[in-house]
Amino acid sequence: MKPIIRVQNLRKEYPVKYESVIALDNISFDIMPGELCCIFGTSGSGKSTLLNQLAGLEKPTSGQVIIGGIPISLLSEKDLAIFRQRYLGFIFQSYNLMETMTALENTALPLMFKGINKKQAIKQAREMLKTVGLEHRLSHYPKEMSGGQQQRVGIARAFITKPKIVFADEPTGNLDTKTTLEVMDMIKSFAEQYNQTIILVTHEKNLSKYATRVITIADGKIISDERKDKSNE
Amino acid sequence: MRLKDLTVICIHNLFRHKSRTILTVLGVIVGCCSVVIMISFGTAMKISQESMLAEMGDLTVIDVYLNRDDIKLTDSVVESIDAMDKVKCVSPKVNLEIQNSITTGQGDRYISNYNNISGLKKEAVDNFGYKILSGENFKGEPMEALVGKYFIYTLIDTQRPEGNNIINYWEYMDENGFVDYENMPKPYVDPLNSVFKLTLGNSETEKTLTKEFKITGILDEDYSKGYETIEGLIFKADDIKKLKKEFYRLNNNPQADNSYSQISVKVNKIEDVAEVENRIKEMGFYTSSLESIREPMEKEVRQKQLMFAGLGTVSLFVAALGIMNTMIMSISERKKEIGVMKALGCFLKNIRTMFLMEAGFMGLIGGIAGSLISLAISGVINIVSTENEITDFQILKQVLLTNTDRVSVIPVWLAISAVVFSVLVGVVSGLYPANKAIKISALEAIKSD
Repeated sequence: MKPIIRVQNLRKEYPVKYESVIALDNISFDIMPGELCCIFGTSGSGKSTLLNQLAGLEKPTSGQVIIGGIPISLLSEKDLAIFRQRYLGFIFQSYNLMETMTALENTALPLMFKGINKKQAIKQAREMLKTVGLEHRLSHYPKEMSGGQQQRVGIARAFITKPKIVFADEPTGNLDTKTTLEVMDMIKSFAEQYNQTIILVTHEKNLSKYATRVITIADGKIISDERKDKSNE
Repeated sequence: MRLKDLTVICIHNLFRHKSRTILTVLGVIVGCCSVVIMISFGTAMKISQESMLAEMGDLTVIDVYLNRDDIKLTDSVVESIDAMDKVKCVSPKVNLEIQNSITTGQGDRYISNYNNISGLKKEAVDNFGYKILSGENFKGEPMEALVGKYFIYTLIDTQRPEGNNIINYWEYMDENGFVDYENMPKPYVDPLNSVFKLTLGNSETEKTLTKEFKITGILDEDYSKGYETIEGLIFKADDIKKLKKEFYRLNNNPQADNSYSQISVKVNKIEDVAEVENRIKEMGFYTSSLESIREPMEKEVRQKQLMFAGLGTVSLFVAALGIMNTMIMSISERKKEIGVMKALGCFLKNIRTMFLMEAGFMGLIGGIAGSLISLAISGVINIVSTENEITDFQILKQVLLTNTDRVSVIPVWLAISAVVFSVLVGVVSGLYPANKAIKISALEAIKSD
């Protein structure tokens, strides 16, 4: 099986006054399709920088990220937008829902970016929200929902385009323990259903139990990379 | 993303900060109003100027007179002017400078002496704007005449006593010089269905010449066209020439001359007057037209208009800065949102369009409201400044819509272009903020608050 994400000698430096801080120090690894990969590290370890690189949100200093055979740092802004529409989904720590839109509209947004007409997009969004158990919150605005509910809308939005890869940046960082479990179960079940790859960035040790692989980062380097056998769970 | 969906998002965003949007739009309204009202003053000035000039005479007519003794206004001059381009019609005006009397009725009962008579070409009657009140233009038969509005009332009844032998139309004139023509008593004879006789010459000193003629039409009075339209008569130029020739031959007078004292030239458009007039001057004639009055007047009005519009534009420029400021503020508040949209795969052009539309919408709302408010302001100005007393709806309508002494006039094109211009101002002021917006990194989505 071919890896879905290949990271080759990835290096990222941030200039700070006269010197530069090395956030990622020549990292290389592969991620296979269907993996639920947890990137684990403390604050300042470089895990967020790695997520940005994997998702193509910023350009590397050197090295490259290849997703599905495409070196994403070479894509133009327009191609990158199309690439994100087709292959990537995002779940954010602070949910990042559009304040002026209802749960339905928020969920439908990635479809509308693709140019699908609103009626059809809303129809799919309704199905999706039903799956995450929010059929009674369809026309609610983000402010009228709890953190857990907002994050479920976030999950629905991330999975509605059936992306190959979903990036989750501290998705449970703002949630209590019970909701954390619900949200993680939901992500995992979606991923298994469509054989999607999940990249989960977190600093919470207990989330790693959901992962099939845990990559630990410190000071911009990989210090451990454990694969768990699925049957061991 | 579809334009319709983008539009909905834009409107939602504008409603998010209602007071900010309203204040910005208010700026556009003020700007739009000041431009429209300022230009409306200019338009009103132009309209009153034009109506004033129109009262003075036809703006597209050039009168040509003799300037030197050696060049005469002959038929060949008429032809060469007629051949110039931009000239619509040329007609000599032949005056019959011979003592005359006109009689009609049984035994020449009705008589009118010393009449003003001139000759024109048939097509000149239409082209030079002579208005025919009743009857029609020359039919093309020999000896036909068009008569002034009150010619028929100059006939004296020779069988009535002095003091009661004329219907005096001056008695039917009000203090403004307006004659109640419709309610005047019937003239002694029906002008259009009677045969008249024209007698030339003073019977005591000269041999006289008498010809019969018919009246084909009655002209409306127009002082700028000459006294013929009031109490005189106009014959065909050729008839007058023939009459003169015959009369002079009869009296063995060598004065017979084929030249004219005046030629009138009608050009196609007001803008062509100066050019044609110059060419005729080069031929050695003296010319006169309203162009010499119109041009400096128009120039002055144009200058004033520009000045007014310039003043108005300043406030619209301030409004543009307002829109720009609002958009930049709104964008820096929505950095995270823009980042999320980018991360979710929104095209840059969609983001740009979204912000341009928001700015354009503010311009549109401001433009529409501004135009409507300008219409109201203009109406109030006209009502306050009018000399008419507004007693009923009809007069109010005149004061607002048709009077030429209005101070402020907003034509449809002005209202529409004000809206279009406001939208443009909105979109242009949105350009810089929108380009700023698309440079915001998708990373903003990841950053924690």
